[in-house]
Amino acid sequence: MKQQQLSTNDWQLLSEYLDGQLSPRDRAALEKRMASQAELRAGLDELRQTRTILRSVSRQRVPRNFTLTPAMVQQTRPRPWLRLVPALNFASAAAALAMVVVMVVGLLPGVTPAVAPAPAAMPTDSTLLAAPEMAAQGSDSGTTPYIIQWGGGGYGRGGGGGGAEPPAGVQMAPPMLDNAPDAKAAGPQNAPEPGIMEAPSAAPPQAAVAQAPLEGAGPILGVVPPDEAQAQNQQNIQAEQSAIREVTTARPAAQAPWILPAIILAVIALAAGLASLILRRKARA
Amino acid sequence: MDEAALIRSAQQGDLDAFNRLVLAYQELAFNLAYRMLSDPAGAEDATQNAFLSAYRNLSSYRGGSFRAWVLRMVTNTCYDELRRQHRHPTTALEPMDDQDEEEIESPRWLADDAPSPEQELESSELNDAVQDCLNNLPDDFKAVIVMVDIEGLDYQEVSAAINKPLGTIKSRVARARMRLRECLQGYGELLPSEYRLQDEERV
Repeated sequence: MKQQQLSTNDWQLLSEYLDGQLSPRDRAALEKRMASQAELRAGLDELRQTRTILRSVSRQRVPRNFTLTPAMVQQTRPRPWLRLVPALNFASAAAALAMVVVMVVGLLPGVTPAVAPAPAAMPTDSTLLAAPEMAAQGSDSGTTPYIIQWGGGGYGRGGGGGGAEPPAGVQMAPPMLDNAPDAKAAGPQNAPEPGIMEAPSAAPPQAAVAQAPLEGAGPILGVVPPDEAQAQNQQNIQAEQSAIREVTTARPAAQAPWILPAIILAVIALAAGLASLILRRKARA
Repeated sequence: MDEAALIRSAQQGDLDAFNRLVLAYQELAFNLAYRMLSDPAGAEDATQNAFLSAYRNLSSYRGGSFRAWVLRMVTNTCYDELRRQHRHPTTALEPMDDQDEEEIESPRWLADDAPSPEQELESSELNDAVQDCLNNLPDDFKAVIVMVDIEGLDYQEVSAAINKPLGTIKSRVARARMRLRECLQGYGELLPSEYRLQDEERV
């Protein structure tokens, strides 16, 4: 069959030519080719015949009218709740995202103390390394620093440097921590000692420990008379004890304040997602 | 009332106005659905659903050919139905009576309104041949060729109806005609003589 020599492109040109869709230039070019190529003419005839057949099929009469009744419209129009689906999807996604944000913020180190009182959390931490922070917080909050009475006469004047100082340095931190009552016992028993101990020089062998307490407003190795020092330490201890009491009572609630909001958000996300799913199922049914 | 006014009224919820539009386009819609689905009952459902969908989505009509917009509703409904059929192929059943489940001898839905004599026979054979060949076309080609060659829509309207560029329509029409030409050649003498393709006569 000659028509098989025609390319798909030729067939397309012939089809468009038949429907008058070619531009004048393309039409002229095709007509010129048709004048010399019988297969193009035959192809055009076949396409025309095909179109004639398609055009000649009888139209079906409609079996009935397709007008809508108010009842049909009622059945279809009404489902305003379907419009809730996108909103529910959004609510679900937003709640899930908010939950993640709450959890991340809640779990980030250092964020929880911002919710629970900062100094309150610290006393339970018995690490000595926490001391620098304590010292800094002490100065920030303007509380009166501890005055630690140096026990032995002559110790530490001008920095000392002997093996006796490090233990003293070590014991300087605990009063800031939750074994404050020990300090109460230890402090007053020490004999008053004039002269100020400079912390950095106080404990060179155990730098990690010794450096800690004595910068800025850390515990001050005292020159204050014993009575005065005792009174002041007593005040500090009382204040601290009351703070500790507050913490111990407040702690259960403040332990993870993000958990409740996170749970609520998770419930919202799940509920909205489920509602959306159910609505869509219903709509499909 | 002209069409634009009817559309405006219908958009404001006037069901009577919309029904006048339905009456104007239902034959076109039903024939397109019938040719696409090759099943009168399915075409009936599809046409009804398409008009329901059209009423629901009237607000999305933004001018242009309303006929093309209605046909878009019909083609979309038919595509959905064809997809559903592809997913859940079913074997054709003989129509059964609802009551006693006996086969109905002359179901009303099969009754054709066509006249009668030889003309009817010829027409019927031609219709069957065309429908059979249409059934072998991809759905996209089928929708386009039915709109252009059977329903006589112009390319622009078809382009609007199926939301494809003009070039795509031209290409699909040409490819559909090529395939139909080959398919109809296979019917040869079954077709009325005046419809026989030249190629057939040559063989």
